[in-house]
Amino acid sequence: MRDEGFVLSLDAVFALLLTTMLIAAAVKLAPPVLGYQEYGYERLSRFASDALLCLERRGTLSEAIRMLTQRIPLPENAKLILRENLRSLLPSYLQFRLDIQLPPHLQAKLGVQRLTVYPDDSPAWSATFENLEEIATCTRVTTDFVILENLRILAWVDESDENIFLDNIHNLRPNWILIRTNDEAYFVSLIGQLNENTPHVVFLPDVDVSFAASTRRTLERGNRNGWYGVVGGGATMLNNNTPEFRRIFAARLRTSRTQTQDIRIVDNTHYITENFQIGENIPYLDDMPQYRYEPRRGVPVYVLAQSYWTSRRRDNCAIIAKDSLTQISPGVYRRERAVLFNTHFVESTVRGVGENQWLTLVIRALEWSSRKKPEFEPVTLYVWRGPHA
Amino acid sequence: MMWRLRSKGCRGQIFTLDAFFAVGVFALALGLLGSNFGELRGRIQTYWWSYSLERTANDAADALVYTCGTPMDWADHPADLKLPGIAENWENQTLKCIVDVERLARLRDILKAGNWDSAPARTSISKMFGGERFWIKVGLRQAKLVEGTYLENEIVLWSFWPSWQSNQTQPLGFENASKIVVVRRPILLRVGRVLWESYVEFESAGAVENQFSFYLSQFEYDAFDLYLRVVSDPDPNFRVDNVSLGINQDPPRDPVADMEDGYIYYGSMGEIVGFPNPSVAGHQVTHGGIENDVWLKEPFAPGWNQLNTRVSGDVNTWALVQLIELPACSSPSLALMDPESLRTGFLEVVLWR
Repeated sequence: MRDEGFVLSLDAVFALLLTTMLIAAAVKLAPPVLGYQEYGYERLSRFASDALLCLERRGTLSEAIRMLTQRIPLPENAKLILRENLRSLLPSYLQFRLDIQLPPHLQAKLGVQRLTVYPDDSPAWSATFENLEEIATCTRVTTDFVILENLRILAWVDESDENIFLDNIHNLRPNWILIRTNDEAYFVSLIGQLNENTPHVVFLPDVDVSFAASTRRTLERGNRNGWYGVVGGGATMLNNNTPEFRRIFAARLRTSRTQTQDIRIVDNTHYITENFQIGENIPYLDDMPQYRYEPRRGVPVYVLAQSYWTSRRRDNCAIIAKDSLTQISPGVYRRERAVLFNTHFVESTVRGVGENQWLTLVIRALEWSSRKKPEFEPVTLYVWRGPHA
Repeated sequence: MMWRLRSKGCRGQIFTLDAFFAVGVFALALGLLGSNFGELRGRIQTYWWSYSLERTANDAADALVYTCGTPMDWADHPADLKLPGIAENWENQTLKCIVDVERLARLRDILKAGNWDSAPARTSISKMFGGERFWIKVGLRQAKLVEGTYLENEIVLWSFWPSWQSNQTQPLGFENASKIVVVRRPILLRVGRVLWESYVEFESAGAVENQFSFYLSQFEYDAFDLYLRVVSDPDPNFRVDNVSLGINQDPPRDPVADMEDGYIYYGSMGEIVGFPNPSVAGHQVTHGGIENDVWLKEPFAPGWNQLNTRVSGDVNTWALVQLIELPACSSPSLALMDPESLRTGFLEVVLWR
């Protein structure tokens, strides 16, 4: 048998050559790889987690959620501050989408499941987002949404009219627990520490005594720590015109005067004055005094109603709502709430002058200033690299 | 290559023309590969270099913004510094991504020409950054919607590198770098800090005087500029009449005659005014703060200093007077910002070869 042949043919050599040239060309012509692409994901994920942390620590998330939970929600304002802050934190070559999941009651109110924020209002972002290849995500949980509990209210009652007023409240809010006392030692025992017996709100409709200094300090400390809100009225401040009470209500008592005119609503965007009209009169007894209070400067307060004082601008306030968000450490906030009425609403209600209005305003003040239960909702930030949509 | 096999009794050629072609083509291919090999090796080397630069810059940025450094109180004892970190510390809790102005100023001071060569932490800092070719920049970044457009503005407040000098704008040799890696992180920072403040509110018309004595260390003098900040009511009706600010002197009574003694704020100047202020006649200091105000008889200097204030106002008017520290050589306009509120910003770690 004749064994004859080639170990390597010319075809094989050509094939080998072509392959070699192709490999060499591929190596030579490969596009230069950018540093950003090589390490892009790590950087993106750092940007996402750090930016979300910064939003939380600066209080921007809390502020946005406060705008969403107002009586008249302001989703566009919430979007604006979130967008401005994210654009400030992220370089312009990064784009983002922030989703805040809304609790059910807000979903029903706003008609959307979540608040979504892109770098601007362009409708093209949704399509861009759906087609992204590289994206970094970070999620945190917010506790800024709150739900109202069945309230536990500690009321200082030293007149029979006040008992009638509280009975009226109980008829309208039968699930509330109303603790009535005029025993200062018992009063202090309930407000001195935070436990299951601590009230959500301390109600001082018309305190006729001057509290001991230790009682005043305890009350101020509890309010400052966010353990409970305080709602006051009548002669409470007159009989306790001290620095502690001035700090609690963020107001200073100037004087009192019998005033023949009613109270007028000046801000109906607040939870307390919901369903009232701007300029609406709240009937008040002609022969009872109204107090002139000056709100403290530098403390966030809402003036919701005013008296018909004509001489002084700052003393006009008839309902002062303090809503102080104190930053204990970055990202950790404490809410101090208190409401002060400049009227003897108990007497006015019991004697049938503005009964329904005063009851509504006081019940809403108690609800608003109460300690509330947080509702946990996720906030997610997506970050990707790319131009504007 | 061709090789004709021969069996018993067969004759033939060892090399054919085909074989010559094949050898030629093969040699060509080998040559081509050889010429590309150098380039290939260079690319691999560059990749690993840049990878290590990227890795180092990223880790250094992590250490800076996520930690307070080692030991935690190194800003009080810079000689003990082992590893720098510039995150704020709040009751032994590290506040990630919030930059502490004091730590930042201390790190800048350690890296300053003259300090760096003898710095005990030089070796550990150099290890952290993979050498001495690094540059740290910290600044503010703010985006604002203005007339339908988002305006983005960046200001670098702190910029330093090993052996930096005040007359340099960038590190030596940076312009010749063959490879540069920049790692940026979003942060929160405060523009400065408040050394002293006094709030005055008048229940009846009158005047209130205050005095503040303080010791200005050489470190503070170098790292910060001192400014005075007067804040009053947005409504002119509730603004104080004037605030006299005596710099190591009694409060001046006349803005021109007593110009060497200090500054005077008038309610008509606005809600917030900083001193020295290029727009306030007589003290056109464009940078450097009170220490750099040549119009003053005795500007603040290292050692003991005294600030004397007198606030005059009508009933229900109020004013807040603050002595603040801003990063050295920053714009006087920063004095208008609340120095201690958290603002959005960035930190950049730049490494190069």
